[in-house]
Amino acid sequence: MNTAFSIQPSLPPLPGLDDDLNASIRGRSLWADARRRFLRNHAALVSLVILAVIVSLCLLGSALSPHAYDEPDFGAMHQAPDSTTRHWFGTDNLGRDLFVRTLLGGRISLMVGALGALVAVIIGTLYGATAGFVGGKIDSVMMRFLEILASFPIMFLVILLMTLFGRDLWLIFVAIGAVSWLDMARIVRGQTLSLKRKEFVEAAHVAGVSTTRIIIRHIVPNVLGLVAVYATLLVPSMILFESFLSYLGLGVQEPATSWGALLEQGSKSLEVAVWELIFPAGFLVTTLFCFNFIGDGLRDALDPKDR
Amino acid sequence: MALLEVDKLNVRFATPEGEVAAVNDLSFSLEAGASIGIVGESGSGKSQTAFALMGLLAKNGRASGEVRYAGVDLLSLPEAELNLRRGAEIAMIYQDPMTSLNPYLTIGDQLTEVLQFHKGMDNRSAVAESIRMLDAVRIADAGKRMGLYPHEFSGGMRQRVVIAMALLCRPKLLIADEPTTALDVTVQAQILALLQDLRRAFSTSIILITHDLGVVAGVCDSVLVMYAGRVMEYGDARSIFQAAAHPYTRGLLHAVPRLDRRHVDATDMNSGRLNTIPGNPPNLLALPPGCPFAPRCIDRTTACLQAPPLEVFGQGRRRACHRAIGDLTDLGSPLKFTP
Amino acid sequence: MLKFILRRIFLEAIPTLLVLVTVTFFLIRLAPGGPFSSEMNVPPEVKAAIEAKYQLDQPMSVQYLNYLTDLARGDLGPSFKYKDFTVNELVNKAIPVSFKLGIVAFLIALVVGVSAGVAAALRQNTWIDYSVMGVAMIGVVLPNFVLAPMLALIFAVWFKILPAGGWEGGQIQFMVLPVAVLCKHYISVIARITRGSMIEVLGSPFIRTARAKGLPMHYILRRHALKPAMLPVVSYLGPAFVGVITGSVVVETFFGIPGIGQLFINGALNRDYSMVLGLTILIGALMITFNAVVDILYGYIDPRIRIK
Repeated sequence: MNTAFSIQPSLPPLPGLDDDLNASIRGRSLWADARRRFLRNHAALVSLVILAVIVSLCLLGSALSPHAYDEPDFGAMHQAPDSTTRHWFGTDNLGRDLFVRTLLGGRISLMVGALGALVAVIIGTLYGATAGFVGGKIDSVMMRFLEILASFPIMFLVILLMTLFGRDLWLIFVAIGAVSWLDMARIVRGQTLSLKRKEFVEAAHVAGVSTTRIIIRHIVPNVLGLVAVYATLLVPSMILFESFLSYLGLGVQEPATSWGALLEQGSKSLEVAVWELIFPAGFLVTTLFCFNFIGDGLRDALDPKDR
Repeated sequence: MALLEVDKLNVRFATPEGEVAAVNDLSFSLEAGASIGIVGESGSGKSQTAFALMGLLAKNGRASGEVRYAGVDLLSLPEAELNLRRGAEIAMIYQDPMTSLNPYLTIGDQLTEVLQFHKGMDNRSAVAESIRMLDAVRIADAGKRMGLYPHEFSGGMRQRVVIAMALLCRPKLLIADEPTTALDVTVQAQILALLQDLRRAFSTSIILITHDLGVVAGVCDSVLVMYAGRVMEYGDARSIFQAAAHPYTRGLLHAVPRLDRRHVDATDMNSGRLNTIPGNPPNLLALPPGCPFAPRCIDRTTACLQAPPLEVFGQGRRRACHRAIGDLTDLGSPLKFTP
Repeated sequence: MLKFILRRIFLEAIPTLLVLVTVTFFLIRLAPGGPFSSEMNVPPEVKAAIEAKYQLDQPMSVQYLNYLTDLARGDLGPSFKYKDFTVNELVNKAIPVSFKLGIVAFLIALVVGVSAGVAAALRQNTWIDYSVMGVAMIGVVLPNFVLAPMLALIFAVWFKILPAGGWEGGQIQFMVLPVAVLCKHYISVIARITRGSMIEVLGSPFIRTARAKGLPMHYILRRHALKPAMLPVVSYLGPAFVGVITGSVVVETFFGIPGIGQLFINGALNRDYSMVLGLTILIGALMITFNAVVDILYGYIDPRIRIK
């Protein structure tokens, strides 16, 4: 924030007025300001709490249940939720406990989301910062490459990859992350271009600091706020991507599971066992909403001129 | 009856940070064929005054008070009634000719639609009349240029187009909001001369809004100086230029670049700097108590903690300052009143 | 303008397509247990056909050239799975189905999205705006594969007014749910984009000029605001088209619609390499073409690009 007004030092002091003026000048730092705006955003705050609950449930919740995620019970297939058998979410087509499976699925979905976003953020930030900072011919070649990749049928290429190289969870991470960094790279490049003209970067340049060092020490830290916002928005799209693949049977393989895979099973048993759809869908959709609200909240907090 | 009477005009904006008072109790009147200059830095409320008169305030803005044009209060007029006057009797030209024309329509389309709406002209006569008006603002080859898009014109040319557009229906009142700010100096002079000529030719009243008293000197009969949404000084141009009665006006006069002293650029060769009023323009969200200009004023006293009333003195002049005129610092002005 | 079109086609679209084709060509030859290794479980007739077709005894460069010539002729080769069919035959049957579904969804998304966005922009911060934006938020976040079973549950299982799946030559009742699922995301995004750009355009100085000219609001909207407000929507059409194709994969799988999406997923699940490869290239070519068309359209709308 700019200070409201300042007293001219060149003018003779005027006790009563100047005190009043000084009292009304309060400088606030960018981050304090952003935090204040974020805390005022109720949707984002509530989302943060709900997300924390979901994440801790996914990490620790399965300990509450006596059932294992891969333990079929052919005497109890498609069972409705029931607290006496401690199948709180019911059972699936093989009689496996849906509560434990939903939480396990969440763990995998969230992990893919977070790791995929991490891969995308690292590649995107370094690529974008380099292109923006180095500029000139290299920049235009790098951007041209980005454009070519962006006009590829990414989803189909990933599926082609999975067809060729097998359906491996790690391949999913890498594939998802590796194709999702394009937007991030563009955003970071734009930010870098404007940072590049700032004095402190030019000063480092003049002082003979190497390009690599400037990118890592000066550019990357300064685009972190923006990166944080887009990373928050990337996580849900990564989760969605993984769920999409798993839903189509190309992602996580049995007996492990993810929300997408559970949904696929759920939509097959739609007519006999609604809970098989409702619980995974509820968790997935709630998580997606939470990330979106948090991301929007962060963006508004860090970049108030938007909206 | 005056052509335009503004009576206690107030403009308020609702913002997330609180209500902003952009214009406070502004009153003035303008006779047919006369011209007034509204002068101030950014944030003085001069542009918002113009938008309020035209009914063009942003959505979160609200104007109160009265703006009587030919006896009719424009502020309480319904949109449809207002549209009969806007563009026909009251027209406006803008600060930035780069953005005030629609980049997606040809100049011809943007000119003729005014005539079609207000005069009910068919396309052919509207085109003919538009070309005539482009000739009048001295755009060469007007017939050919009707089919061009705004980005194919230079800044000065675009401002001429905007002026032509404003004058199409021979308006009785022309509001010019910083018409020369975005243009370079030689073009500035041409546009001002053009405005003067057109004013004589069409006997249009002009409200000229500017931060530059030098621009006012050649065009206006009277001057209204605003700061932080309030009137600081008002009077006929001659007496304001000869004997400014407010420290702010004196500061503005002192800050006018002097062409006669090789002072053309912002970096002066003699002293190395342009004379400016120290400090920043006011932030309307956090005004100081009392006189808003006090933090930057070289003549301030403890009395300035109270807002000064707008006192009437001399021949219809007004000023808002606690200090006696004789006590104010004489900065001297490079400007001579020419008309 | 002609120069712009030629440049867009010959310097951008065609090289991109070439890169895509080359990448997929080498990917498929790098794949472990790929179609050209002996472990692959392929019917002998198909294997013989493939070996003859790709001339596996020839050097890589010859293979690559042959592959390019085949593609240029539009020949996607024999299917690995269905020994009696070529990929082309299967694709040709599926394409009309997907196109019908996609085009209907695309048009609905465009019309509904733009109208909702304009309405929200004009009634900014009223209940209309809030409900449009609220629904759009849900539309963006709710995945296809959640919405599809939910709609099927409600309309097919509970109310029994619409079929839960099938195509039957694209009769209207079989299209309602798939189209609804397919277009909801794009309605939402287009509504958001339209609202944002409309608000921005309405706040721009040239709209103020138009209002100062005393023009009525409906005329200003139509004549001055609509075109610039549509530009961001036009540039979203490319990604939207891609999204509709991708989304059709889920929709066709869930509703059992015999389009290219289902063909693709079955190909992937059955490791039908030539099918997946052929469809990837086909869809890539479609996307690249469509993006080029959209860019040219954009250039046609915006006079500032047209002149360059």
